[in-house]
Amino acid sequence: MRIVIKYTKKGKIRYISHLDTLRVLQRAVRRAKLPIKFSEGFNPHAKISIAYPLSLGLESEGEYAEIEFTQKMRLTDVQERLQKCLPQGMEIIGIYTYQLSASLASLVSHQIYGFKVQIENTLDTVNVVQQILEITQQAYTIKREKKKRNKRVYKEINVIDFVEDVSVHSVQGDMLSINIKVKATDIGSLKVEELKTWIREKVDGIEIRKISRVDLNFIDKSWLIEYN
Amino acid sequence: MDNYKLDQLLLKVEKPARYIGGELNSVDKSKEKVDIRFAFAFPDVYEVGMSHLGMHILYQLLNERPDTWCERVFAPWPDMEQQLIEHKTPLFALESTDPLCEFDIIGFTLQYEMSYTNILNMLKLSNIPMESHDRSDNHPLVFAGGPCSFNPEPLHAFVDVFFIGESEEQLPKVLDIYNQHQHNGWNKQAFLEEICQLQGIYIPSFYDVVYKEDGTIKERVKKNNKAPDTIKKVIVKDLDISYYPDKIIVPFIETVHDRVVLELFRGCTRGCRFCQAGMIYRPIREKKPETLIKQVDQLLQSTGHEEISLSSLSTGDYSQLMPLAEALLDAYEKEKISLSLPSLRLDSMSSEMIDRIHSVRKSGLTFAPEAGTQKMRDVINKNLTENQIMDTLKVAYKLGWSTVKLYFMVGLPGEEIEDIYGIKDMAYHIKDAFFDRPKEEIKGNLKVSVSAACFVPKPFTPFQWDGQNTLEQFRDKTALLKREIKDKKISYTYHDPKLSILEGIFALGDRRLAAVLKNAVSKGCRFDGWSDYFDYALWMKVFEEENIDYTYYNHRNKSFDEVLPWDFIDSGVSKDYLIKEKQKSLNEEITDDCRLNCTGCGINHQLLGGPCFENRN
Repeated sequence: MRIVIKYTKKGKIRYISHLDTLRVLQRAVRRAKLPIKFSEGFNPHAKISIAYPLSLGLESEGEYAEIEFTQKMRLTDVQERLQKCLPQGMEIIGIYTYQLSASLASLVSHQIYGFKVQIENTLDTVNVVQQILEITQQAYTIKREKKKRNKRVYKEINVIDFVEDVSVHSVQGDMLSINIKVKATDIGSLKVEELKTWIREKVDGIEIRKISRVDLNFIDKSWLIEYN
Repeated sequence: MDNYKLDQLLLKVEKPARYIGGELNSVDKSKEKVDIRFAFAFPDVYEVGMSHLGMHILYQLLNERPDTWCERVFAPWPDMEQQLIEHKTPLFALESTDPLCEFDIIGFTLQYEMSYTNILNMLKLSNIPMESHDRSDNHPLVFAGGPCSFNPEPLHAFVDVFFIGESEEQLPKVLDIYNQHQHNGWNKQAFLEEICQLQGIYIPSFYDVVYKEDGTIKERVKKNNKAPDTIKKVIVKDLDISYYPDKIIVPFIETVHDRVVLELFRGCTRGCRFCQAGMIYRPIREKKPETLIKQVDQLLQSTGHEEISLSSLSTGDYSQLMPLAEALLDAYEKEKISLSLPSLRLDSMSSEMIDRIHSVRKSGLTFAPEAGTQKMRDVINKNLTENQIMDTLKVAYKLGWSTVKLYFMVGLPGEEIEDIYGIKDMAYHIKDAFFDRPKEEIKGNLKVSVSAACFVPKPFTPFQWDGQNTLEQFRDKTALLKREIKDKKISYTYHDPKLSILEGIFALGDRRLAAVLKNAVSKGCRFDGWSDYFDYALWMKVFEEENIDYTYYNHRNKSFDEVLPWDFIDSGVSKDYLIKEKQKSLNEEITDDCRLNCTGCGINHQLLGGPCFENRN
């Protein structure tokens, strides 16, 4: 039986890398004594995978992991047992059965980032919001540095090719919540640092206070139905 | 420290998870509700420190006390050190993120000499005066324990209290006394005077050392009449009833040993003459299989680890090894929990057993012949013959093993050029044994790795009087092997001789090296055990500035009647025994494993008050 859990990664646990997060999940499943399935071969490993990597140091409101069991389990039961074994900051906020043949990772279509920005002068709010809403209308190229053997190679990327949508989520006093929907395709995605540079350059009169990943979107969402 | 400030530091370092704490089984307490705040300090990076079993034992032991909160602190990696300095933030403990200067006691563990500069640097980064006499009653006390405390003298100026031997029982006693003193008005001197009466406690400030004109020690003078003349090490007599944690911290990030570690016994009966651990951890004390099975079960449940490692000085010698291994496999095979076993016991295992271990995880074979010729192995009393290795290998090759690791030392006392060639010969024999089989049997890709370490004479061993090889001698020997071992199937690596030279100086050092340490730290020496940061030239400059001829410590052959800096410590093994062993080594004469015959080292009289084995004939 395959399931998907949706969980948060908040607080200090955000300093754990992608691979280490995977190990945290594997050990939690072991301690919860859930009937995890193992791969065949010399070094059998537990069948757990995380849908999309998250940058080290970033918090997330919506991470997804696919887990395979050797037998049928009740989702509520799994959630309860697993939650007890997870560290602070990793909270299971959704659990689903998953029956598609494709891996969850291959279905990821977008990452949604949330930017909390502070407006330097609240009289400018309307102007700032307008700049944000119009930000995708103009091309913005960044240079990516790559090391090929000992040479440095630069590649130019147009940010807006990767950005699906930018929306203002809420305004509270001088704090603005922006959601940026970034494509996650075969040819890659954008790095958080790149998004940061872009926003800083293109929107005047703001200070970025906090960035987190809000959610992931999937090509096929048929499995993503709340159980009850 | 507030979260925002901490985030500013963490976002700028390579591996922030080293500093966040909060791992499974780590302990959070309210600082208002405890009397003693104890920082367990490991003077190396997180990944190394977290792999050390002793820290896990003491951490959980101290945290079981309602009056104590034991936290951890590791040497910050240079990127974090830079952040701490730039942000003017003192070094902090992982659990509370409070600075070390707010603690009552900082307890350092001394696992290897090359971490000494990290100790001083950690104090410096905490804004705590490095030297004991500069610390007031309001500063934290500095404790130290672990194997290197058997020669504590190079650190005498920095540490208030040394623990000699195994601290599980003594540390709680000292904390009880500490608490009494705190409640009745704190006076550091009075506290030190009381605890120095306990076995295994050494207060360096209570003594002075007088030197002769030739630089050797004339005598030790007591400055406090309450201080004992000799310090006798402490041991835990019965490991079945002594404390062992039922949970250990599970790091978020990968560490050196990422598994459940099961300590089968302490001590070793082999009597290898170069080995300090084999002498200072005597006598041998085994745990019963029932105890071990109970402990491993609790640990697996509380950690979720997927590997069990049996850990002891010579694990293959555990009297109940096969029944234990079988019981562990029966219990955990299905859960895909793997078991690492010492290689040398393969010859005495049934092939069915080997197959079961093999089916979960295939690890390589490891041997430590230490020397290349039988003559040399007799000199060092490493009772392992080439035939024994070959017999094991024949079984292993047949079962599909093809990775072999071999550990050797160069620069051993009495070594000749043939003995170096012997290392090469053994590696080639091992390779030949793989291919000298019918073609259809040869499977897999053979990989033999040869590793050569440079010998460091250590206190409390029969070789404590021997001078260490010089840098040039080590270089010649390691280079010879580099030239000679030319085979695609055999890889060769060797330790940096410069590091071993410095290790030798501090292992055999005395009080006069404290000034050297202090100077080296002021020049930026730390993480000396890491080749990226070790700066030999800088160290040589420090010796010159301090006007110390380091060769006096490590290259000189000493006479049996010289007063050695660590002679005031009683390890339980008599000096007469060490002299006898040294003389036997000169005659290439071996000494039996003391499981077979008591070899009269003295430990049973001095510490046990009875024989080492209960049911011996």
